[in-house]
Amino acid sequence: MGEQFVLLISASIFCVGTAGFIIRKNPLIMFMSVELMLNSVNFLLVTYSSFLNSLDGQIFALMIMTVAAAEVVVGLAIILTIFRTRHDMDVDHIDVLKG
Amino acid sequence: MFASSWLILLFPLLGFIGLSWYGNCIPKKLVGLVGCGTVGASFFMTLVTLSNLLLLPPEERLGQVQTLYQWVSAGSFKLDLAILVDPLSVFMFLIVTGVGFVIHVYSVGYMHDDPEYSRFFAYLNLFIFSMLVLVAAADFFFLIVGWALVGLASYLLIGFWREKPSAVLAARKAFVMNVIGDVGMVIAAFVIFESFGTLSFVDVFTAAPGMFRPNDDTVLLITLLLLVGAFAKSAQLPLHTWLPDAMEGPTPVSALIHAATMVTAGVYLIARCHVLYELAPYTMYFIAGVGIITAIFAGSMAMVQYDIKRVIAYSTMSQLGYMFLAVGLGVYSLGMFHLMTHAFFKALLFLAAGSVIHSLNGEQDIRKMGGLQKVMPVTHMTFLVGALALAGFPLTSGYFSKEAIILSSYHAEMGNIVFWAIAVLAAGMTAFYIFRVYFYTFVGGLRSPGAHPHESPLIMVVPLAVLAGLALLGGLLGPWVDSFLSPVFGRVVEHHHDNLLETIALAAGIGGIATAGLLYMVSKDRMSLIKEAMAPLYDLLSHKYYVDEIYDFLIVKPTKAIGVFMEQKAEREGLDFTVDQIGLQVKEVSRAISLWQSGKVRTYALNMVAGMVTILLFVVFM
Amino acid sequence: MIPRENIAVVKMIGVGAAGASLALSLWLLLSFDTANAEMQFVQMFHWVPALHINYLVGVDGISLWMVVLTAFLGLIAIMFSFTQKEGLRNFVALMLALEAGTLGVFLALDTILFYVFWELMLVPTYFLIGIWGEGRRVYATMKFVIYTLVGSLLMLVAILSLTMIHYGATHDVTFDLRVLMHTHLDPATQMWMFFFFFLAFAIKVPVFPLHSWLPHAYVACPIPALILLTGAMSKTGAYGFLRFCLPLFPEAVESFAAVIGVLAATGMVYGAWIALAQKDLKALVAYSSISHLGFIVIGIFAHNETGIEGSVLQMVNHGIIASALFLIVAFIEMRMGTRNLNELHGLSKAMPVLYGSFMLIMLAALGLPGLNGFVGEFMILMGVWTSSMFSGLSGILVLMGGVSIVFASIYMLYMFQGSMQGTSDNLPDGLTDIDRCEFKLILPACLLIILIGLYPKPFIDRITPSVDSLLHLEKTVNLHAGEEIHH
Repeated sequence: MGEQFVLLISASIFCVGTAGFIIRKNPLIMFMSVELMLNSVNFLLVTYSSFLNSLDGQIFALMIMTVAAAEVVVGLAIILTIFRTRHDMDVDHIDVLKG
Repeated sequence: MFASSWLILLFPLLGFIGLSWYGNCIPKKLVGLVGCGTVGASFFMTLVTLSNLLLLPPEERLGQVQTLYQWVSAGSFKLDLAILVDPLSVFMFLIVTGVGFVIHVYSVGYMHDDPEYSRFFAYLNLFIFSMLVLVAAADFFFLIVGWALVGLASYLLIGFWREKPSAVLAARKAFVMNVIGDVGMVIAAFVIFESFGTLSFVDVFTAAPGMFRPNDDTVLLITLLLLVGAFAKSAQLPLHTWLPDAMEGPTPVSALIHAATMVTAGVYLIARCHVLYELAPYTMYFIAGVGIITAIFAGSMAMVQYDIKRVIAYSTMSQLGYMFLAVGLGVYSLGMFHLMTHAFFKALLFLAAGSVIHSLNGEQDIRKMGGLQKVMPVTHMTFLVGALALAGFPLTSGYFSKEAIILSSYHAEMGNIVFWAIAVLAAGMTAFYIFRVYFYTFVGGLRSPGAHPHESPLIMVVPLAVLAGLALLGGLLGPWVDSFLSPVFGRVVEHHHDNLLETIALAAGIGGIATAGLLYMVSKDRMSLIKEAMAPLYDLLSHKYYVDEIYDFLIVKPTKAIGVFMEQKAEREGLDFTVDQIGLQVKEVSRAISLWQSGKVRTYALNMVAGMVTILLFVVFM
Repeated sequence: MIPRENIAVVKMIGVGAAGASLALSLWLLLSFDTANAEMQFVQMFHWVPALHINYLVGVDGISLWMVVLTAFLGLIAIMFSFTQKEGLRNFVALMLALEAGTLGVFLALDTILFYVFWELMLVPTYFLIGIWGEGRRVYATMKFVIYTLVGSLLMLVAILSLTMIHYGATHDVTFDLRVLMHTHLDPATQMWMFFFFFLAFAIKVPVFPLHSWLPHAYVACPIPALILLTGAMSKTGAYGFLRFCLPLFPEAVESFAAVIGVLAATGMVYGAWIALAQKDLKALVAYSSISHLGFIVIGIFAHNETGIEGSVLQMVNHGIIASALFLIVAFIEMRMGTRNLNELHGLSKAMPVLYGSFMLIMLAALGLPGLNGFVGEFMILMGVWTSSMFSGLSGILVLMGGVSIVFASIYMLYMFQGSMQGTSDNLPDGLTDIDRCEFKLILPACLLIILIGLYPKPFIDRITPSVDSLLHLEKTVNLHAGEEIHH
């Protein structure tokens, strides 16, 4: 596998994630899209780590996974709370923060 | 030798401080005693100073500057607190403290029943102090200080009965008019300082002749600016309207401030600055012109007034016009001489009028008086003496001073037939109006039935008698005044003899008396006929030429209106509005911008991506 | 830390702190070396060593009087604030903070320190007006704070640029005003920096037409705070002109002096004219302040000894007179429940002591010769008259000054006679004169009014050397932005 291939896969996964984040209205799906974006980066980091014979990339990937996990915990909690109070999961309707 | 002259100023100041602090705690008798005593003491000190001065040879009597301490020193602006002792200032001391003392004594009787007796004497002492500062000042700065302080004292005393709205208004009018004069003098002081680098009289007057050619712009500017002050203080046209209104004050005040001393400050100023004025012949001519116009203008108004004090007030204006004529013509010592005699007979007239008013319980309308010669013999006699002196009846003091001025108005260097003719006409008017008052007041029968006039107490009558003596005999001092003041003015006034002119002037005076007698004694029933025949003129005169109305319409009302207008338009709807609008507009814009924050997560995400793509494109392709 | 209820302790601390600072300032006054033009009693502590920002304070002849004045008014204001009914503890605390800020402004020699104190004045004022004020207090205090902030942020920009330009040329980071003062900037830089500084100070003074916060703030402000506001804080602007604008940007001053002179003179007449139309005593005094502050500004920009010394003296005078006038207004309002001239009349009968002190203060305010107001005004106008800064406009400016003096006599008499004289019928029963305590508050002001009027020399003498050195400042470091060092 060449570098280009890895880059291409990573970029396309990232784009899928981005598109999903923008298009979908369900917060859970949007969450998963965010995870996709993060993991595309992780994928890149890990591959390059093996290409460059350096552990830095893997450490970073682990770091990102940890942060992502923490993020999910908080994010899901927020989504649950919103659902409980509003019984509505359309993000377009959740706009109380508008100016 | 003259350090003791400070005491002249100190006594009245102490009197003022003492009376205003402790006036309410000490018995009435003591108040009167302190009030008169301080002025008496300063009169005594003036005599001491006078004798010291007379001991010196005439040429050494000038420029005795007594410095107390350095008052300020800021850059090139240095000033000492100092007084100038010379014949002119001592001459003024004599009048101020002398006449002032007599009037203080009179006031003890006149104000006896007033609940604020001590406040009155405190103010009177303040006035004497201020007037002494004015005439003692050794530089323009303290001249202005004194100038403004007498204005303050005059304000306080005009408005002494502070619950009387008309008195309050009159006081304000007097003060504001005088502030206008002060501002003129202050600016004059700036010009003087700029030109001479000093404000001291002695230095300025020494340097002036070498610095300016006659009628230089600067010297004209200085003299004219000083004149603003002089005209405001001495109620000359067009700054005269406050003086008649000032009669709202107690009568001794009118006698002291608005006849004998303060209003003559303008004349004193010109005499004091004669060195400058001689360099400005145009200004001199102007002074003489304004003086003579004021003399006839005020005299004409006095002929139709019914308020006894107002008649005398207009007469004061008119006589001040004569003094200005004299100093404008360059015969300073004649002006000062008339100032002195006028102080005697006008103070006398006011005090006698006060005595009449006192006995009629405040009545001032001459139509309601009459026949008082029987019940008030001393007042009557003294008033008659005053009236004769004012009218210039031969051998009274007024005769000597006024005749000399009238004669000079033709014979002096700048004199001419027009000045002379107007002066004679005004003299005739003077005689007419004062005897009109005399006949109204003292002859015939009493026209207010309810009143019980009585002769005033001794403490008021004695000052009247003293002043009457001075008014009668003061004319004999003429030659002495001339020679005493000659070192100051640098020359002795020439005495002209012109029998024709003298006779005509004399005839005008006696003619005036006779006309008054004829009109008000003999043919009283024909009065209304004359009034009708001259109705427009009469109307004009009795409304004081509508000057008050004109000022009100042209100056007072627009000023107020502009003030209100500016507050409404410039302040509220202009500046406030603009500033508030800036704030509001910023708010509006930020509200518009805040719409970008829609709260929709997906829009944010789209924006983010768009932004990232833009940056990427930028990085890649640039 | 002090319980809200313990009023006595609050009072004790308030008076103690203010009294101590007055005592210290008087000690400063006594041990001040009159002949010395340099900064005296300089003290320095490192504050932010990395940036060379120091706690650097000292006084010269100009700030000396400002410090004494502030400490004097601070004590009076705090004693008078005991009449506040609610929240006395916080009120006194904020008053002390305000006094501290103002004193700091007058003392600071480090530009950053100056800026910090400058902003420090703002915070207590905001709360004092916003919480204890009257009428449209929130509107007034917002307007005041925002207005002032706009100016002071621009000033911060200028302060930082000044040091950076200085660094660019000498590689020496310093915020020490004494060092910066001797640098010469090129004219273009001077212009914009001057403008930034000027705006900050002009808003604070205020100079016409930047004054529109003042009437609102003054009318809304509680009187004890107003004493500090008008007496001391409004002087910080004028002081800023003297401390920053004149020494740092001499060429800019020269080119703008005429414009500023016209603005100041316009403000003099404008304020006086609007004061003529006021019915509310507080608003009347507020507008008269605008007029009098115009005198101070014009004297500073006359840029000669007479003018500047007159201005410094007039700052002291105005501090005394205006705060005393506000005290009088407060006394009247406390008794009559109104400040409206239409509803006041004939008070003199019931209040002879107030009448006397009011008269003296009123006369000083309208510039009666012999009292302190006149000394200042006379020197200022004389400075303007002989000034070469106003390019031929001197005469007109002095004339405008004259007009505003005439107006001053009208509105002051109107205010005095309207409230004190006239008929004394139907005055409320039980109307009492000011009591002993109140008289003691007003008495020092009265004495100073007379003292300065009679003998201004000791006051002027201490100002003279500093003004002298200000006017003949030597520029030892010649700086041009972005260029190398020139000596």
